[in-house]
Amino acid sequence: MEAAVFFDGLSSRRRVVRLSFADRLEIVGVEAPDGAPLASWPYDAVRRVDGPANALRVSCTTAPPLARLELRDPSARADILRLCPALDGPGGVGRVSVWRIAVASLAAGVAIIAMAWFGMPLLANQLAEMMPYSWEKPLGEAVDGQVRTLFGGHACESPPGITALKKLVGQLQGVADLPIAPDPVVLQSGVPNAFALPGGRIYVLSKLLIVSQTPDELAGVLAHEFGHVAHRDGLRRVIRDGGTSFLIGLMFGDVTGAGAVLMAGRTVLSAEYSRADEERAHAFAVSVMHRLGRPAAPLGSLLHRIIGSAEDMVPSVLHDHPLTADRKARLEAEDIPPTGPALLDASEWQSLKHICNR
Amino acid sequence: MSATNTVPAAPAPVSFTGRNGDFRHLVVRGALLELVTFGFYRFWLTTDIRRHLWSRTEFAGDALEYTGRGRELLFGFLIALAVLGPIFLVYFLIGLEAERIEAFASLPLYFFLYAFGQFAAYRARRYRLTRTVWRGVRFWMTGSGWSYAWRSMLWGLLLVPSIGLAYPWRTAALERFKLRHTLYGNLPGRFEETGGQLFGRIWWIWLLGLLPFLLFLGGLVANLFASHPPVAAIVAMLLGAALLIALPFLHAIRRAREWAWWAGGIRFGSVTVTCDMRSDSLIGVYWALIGFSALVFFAFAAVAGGLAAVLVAGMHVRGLASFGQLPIWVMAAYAVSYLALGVALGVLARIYTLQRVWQRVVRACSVINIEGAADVAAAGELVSGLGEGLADGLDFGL
Repeated sequence: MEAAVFFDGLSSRRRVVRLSFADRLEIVGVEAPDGAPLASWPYDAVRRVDGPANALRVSCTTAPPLARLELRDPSARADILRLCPALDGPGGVGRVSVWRIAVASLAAGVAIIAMAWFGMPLLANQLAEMMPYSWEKPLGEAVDGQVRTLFGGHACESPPGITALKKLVGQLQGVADLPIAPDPVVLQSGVPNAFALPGGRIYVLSKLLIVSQTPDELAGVLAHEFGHVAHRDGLRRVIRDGGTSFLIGLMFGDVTGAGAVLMAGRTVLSAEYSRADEERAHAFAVSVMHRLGRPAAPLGSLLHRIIGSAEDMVPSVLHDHPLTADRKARLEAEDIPPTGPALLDASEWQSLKHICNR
Repeated sequence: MSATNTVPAAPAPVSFTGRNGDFRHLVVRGALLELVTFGFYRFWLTTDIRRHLWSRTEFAGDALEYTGRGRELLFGFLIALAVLGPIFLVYFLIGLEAERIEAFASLPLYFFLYAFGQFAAYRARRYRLTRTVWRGVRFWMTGSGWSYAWRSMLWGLLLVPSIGLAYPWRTAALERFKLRHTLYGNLPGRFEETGGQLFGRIWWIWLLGLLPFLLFLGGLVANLFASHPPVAAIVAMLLGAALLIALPFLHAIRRAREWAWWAGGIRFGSVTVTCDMRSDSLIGVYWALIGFSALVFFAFAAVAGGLAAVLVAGMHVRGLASFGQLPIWVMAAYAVSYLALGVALGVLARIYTLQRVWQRVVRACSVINIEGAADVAAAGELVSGLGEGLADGLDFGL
């Protein structure tokens, strides 16, 4: 059996060698006529590197980095193990400390989760404050095309209906005073819902008009959406969700299903945020209605009616919205009787309800 | 002795000395560590897997050595984040602008990300090569990642209109590009197989692979338009379903033939690799993967079903109102079993699609004229792990 094989790290020449254990490890080619060593390595500079299971492969910190000595002979291996004090010392393969990786990862993970949980909402709030309102416009317009495509592109535009809608929105805007006058669109859909996009575009789905019984009910929902526009919730949600998913993605490159579990957690996380957003939008709606001299309680009854009729299809207006029975009661208790004029007269209300009829 | 020396091209053996149990232990432990480290352990696990496979792969009795470190992959990943962060932001803004002009106009941007993924794959390969050492001399690579990426893109564009027919020629062209820029020390590599040869090996599998879908589709259409489903349509659908079962066999045969074709095309100077891999040598591997995966899924389904049963029973007893009020221990049990499913599937994929395939390919190969690499001067510089990091960050495109 070959006692040892040596590669000098400068060429791929394979040299069968014998070892001589002097004050340094001397590597001598078996074919060398004069017995001059090919290399001589200080014992404390010898390091263990990866090798096949049945061999000990070592390098030397003072030799070319890829110089290798490979020992298959058990007694030679035993000699090296005995004579070299720093086989696993610095400069070699070393042993990776799993504990260090685990602790550092845990710290990094906690930091990332803390960033997602506390940092992202803060950052989103700050950025949303700093961004000029006009920047939201392209964001909304970008999504507008997709929203219309999703709803089959049927916007309802009967002229008397549009006039009534503009009147209603104009009155709300008179009190709400949004930086950009909102631009409502009615889309044909069987889902009773309304939502606002960044940039102030408000979508009313036609089913909501059918379900609404009075102008005050519809006005309440619109005022709620005004609240989202005023608080720039759409923009903040985009920044927050985008940032959070980036952070989560940062943590999980490609591993297992852990990412999906965390994604589920993230949804809960954003629902938690948007619950606060919904609260604020709700308060905004109540204040707008009251300033118009109109009651806010009809909003509550409309939402209640929608939930009752379509439990499986909870619209996004209510989705994260804790409309509990006691909240509804509170809304009614705090409410004022109507002092201002009706927002729409009976014929205007009928035109608006039939805006989708041609 | 002199008699054997005069035989010019005695093939040198290529062998794999790794034990299955060692590898299984390595990946199970690694997967569990990935779990407790939020996935950060993947850099070290990847490194350990490569160290294991390389050091147990021997050419003419001398094993490869992988000199990369997990730390390098981590740093590569962190730098890649700094590069990819702004790119994703710009990507997002451009996409927004495109959507404004036309709904879904941002789709072409995916092509850019795909090209970037190909660039990253090329750079990642360069990292791996420069960490691959045999007989004290490292492999390395020249060539530009972008040059590779646009080749890959252009060839990729041909794939769809040709329903995959262009695949052999694309693979051959890309392999030629990669190996033309690969060196062992100062010994240049090249790739000597052609797309036509690959096509000759796998064309019938490609055709048979299309057949189930065509039959199934044909049967479906015939069923839709005929008032009484004709017997022929039912037969076609049954045949299609049967062929669907044949797909794993076909895939295994295709992979084996493709591996043999690929390995047999590798040249370094006068050194030639040959590979007489049998076409059926991967069938067992793929069925084992399918079987164990199915077992894991059944176990998961049993646990999930058991939980649901307990839950329903609980509802009858205590009248739980809705799904929203799942007790916390049920949520936790679901999360744990889901994680266990992910870990188990990850382990199976690494064992069967990585180690077992590697083992079989390596054992089927031998090297002719290895004397051509007997005295190769070392050359080539190490490159950073950035390419690996980018590939990690863009791994949807790979």
